[in-house]
Amino acid sequence: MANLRFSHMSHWKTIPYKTIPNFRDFYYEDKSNAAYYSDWDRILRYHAATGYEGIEVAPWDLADMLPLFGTLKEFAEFAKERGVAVSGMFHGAEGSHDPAKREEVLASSRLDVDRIVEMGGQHMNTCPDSNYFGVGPLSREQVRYAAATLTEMGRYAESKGVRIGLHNEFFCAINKENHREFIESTDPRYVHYCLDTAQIAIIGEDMVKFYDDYHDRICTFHLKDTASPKLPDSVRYAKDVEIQDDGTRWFWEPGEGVLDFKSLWRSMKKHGFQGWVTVETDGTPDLLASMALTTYYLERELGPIYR
Amino acid sequence: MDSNRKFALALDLVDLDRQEPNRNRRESRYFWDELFTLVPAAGFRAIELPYQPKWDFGGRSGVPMTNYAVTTKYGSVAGFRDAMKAKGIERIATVAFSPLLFASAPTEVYFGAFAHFASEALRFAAETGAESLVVTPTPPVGILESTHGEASVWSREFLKRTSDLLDRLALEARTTGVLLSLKSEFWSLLRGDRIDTFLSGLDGALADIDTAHLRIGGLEPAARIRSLSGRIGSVHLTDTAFVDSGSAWRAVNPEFPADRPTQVFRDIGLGDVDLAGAISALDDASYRGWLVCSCRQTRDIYRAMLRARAFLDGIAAKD
Repeated sequence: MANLRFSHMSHWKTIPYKTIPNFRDFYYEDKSNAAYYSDWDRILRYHAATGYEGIEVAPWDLADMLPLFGTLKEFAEFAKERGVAVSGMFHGAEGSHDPAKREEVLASSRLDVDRIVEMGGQHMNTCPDSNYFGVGPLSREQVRYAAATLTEMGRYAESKGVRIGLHNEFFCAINKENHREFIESTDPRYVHYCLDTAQIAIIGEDMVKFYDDYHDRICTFHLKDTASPKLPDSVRYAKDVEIQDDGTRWFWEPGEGVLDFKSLWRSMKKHGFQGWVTVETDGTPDLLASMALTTYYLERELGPIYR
Repeated sequence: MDSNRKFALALDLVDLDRQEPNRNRRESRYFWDELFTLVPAAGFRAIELPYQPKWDFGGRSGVPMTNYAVTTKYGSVAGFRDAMKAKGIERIATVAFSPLLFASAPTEVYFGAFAHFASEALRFAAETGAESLVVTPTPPVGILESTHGEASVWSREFLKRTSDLLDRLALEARTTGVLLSLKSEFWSLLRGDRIDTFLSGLDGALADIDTAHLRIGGLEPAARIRSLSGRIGSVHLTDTAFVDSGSAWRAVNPEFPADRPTQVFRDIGLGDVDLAGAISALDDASYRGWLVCSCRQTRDIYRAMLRARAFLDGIAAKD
């Protein structure tokens, strides 16, 4: 039995069909590749074919998925029939530092935990607060308030069998100057950590050292590479920084950037990590190519170290 | 070719919602800056800009489809207009707005957001110098029914509130000099000629002609143009080969018929709508507004622009 199970973060945009029964006719309408990227049936088959046992879904996709499947449980069963489990769902705790938003943040969190339970998922990987621009820098009191809110979210999640994994975006109000303080202000019984390898490196952490320091909190990964670690504050804290005007990409497939994944894998082996590792390739021009490219790297380069 | 005809290209040919490889780049400014260079190269010097509040959220201001996005990236609406002029796009002919984003929201939220963003789109249209604001008066029936239940129960009140909202918008439009035009889509509560009664209760709003929507809804565009006898505020030249033989119009996602997937809207010239007949009818009606070429759902933005140009050149050659 493998220690690592690979999932893929769904960055497919709106997928309009559940299945395309008239695939050949649909293709012949314009002879483009639209037929290949328009139904969940084939998208999920691509996951299974490229070695992903799981899919992590995004909450902003649910409004389009529900009319196709009726319920999230139906979606999970549909995926399972194609060899893919729902590993979890992303979540954003925007405004967690703000007492005025506490009830809204908690209610939204409970809703998404329930959705994950319905899909049979295990992880709710959670951006801990709003973007830095327009909000940061947070006061120490605000950081602690946000940590308390996340602990409260985690208490509910844990009671439902779901693990909250803090997922720090490099442009989040929780950032370099308060990231570790924030983690340590949450209750480790209820709040875990999803190590997004690229985000953490862009913030300015050493990915391997961070894993070594927090391995007992880390419950899952968002695995991706970057070619731009340690971005300066002036970039990370700028307005709408995630999408760059000139098309500069922050994220690359593992092995295509500069991060030391082999050392990370050795550390994961040392600490005996077991569980879901979600590959995330946001920013790619071709998700299917990125999925295959990453699987090759995982199998051939990292697999001999730990799997 | 009638020298009074003026053609624009709708930017709804850039699908920002659906999947395709390399779709992400469409959220970066560089993509749009290049597109604005290529649009004139395809022979279009005016565009229709879809006004989509979605781009106010999530840090995606690279998509220049809201006041927030445009001012973030170009400093001001005037700066945006100047940037496009420098690339050969002389004007924004029309601005289009749909309340679709809010369709599944509770009723009060839906109407509040509709009123707020439609008004914002109108001010944006005025500031860009657009001739008209084309408003979709209702989201698809299927989406509304999935939220509110059977349409016959709530549609009367829903349309009354829509009418009140658009009445206020029409009043505001008159102060800006922007024409208000209402689009009849085949999936709408006001599909086909149902919009006529609705329009008759509004002071200052005109009808939009969307050739593919009319055709799918069972109306021939040329006949429809003649029946409106001049009460036309805007025109969208769209093409289709789709026949709604069932009840696709009532589906939650009518643009993507679930029972038999198909490209409902084809690139201009690739469907079987009598566009030449529609243009001729518009000439007969002395229509002098913009004819907006829309290649919604295209599989290839750049081929679609050139296909539209080739089609228009073909029409001109026959005149």
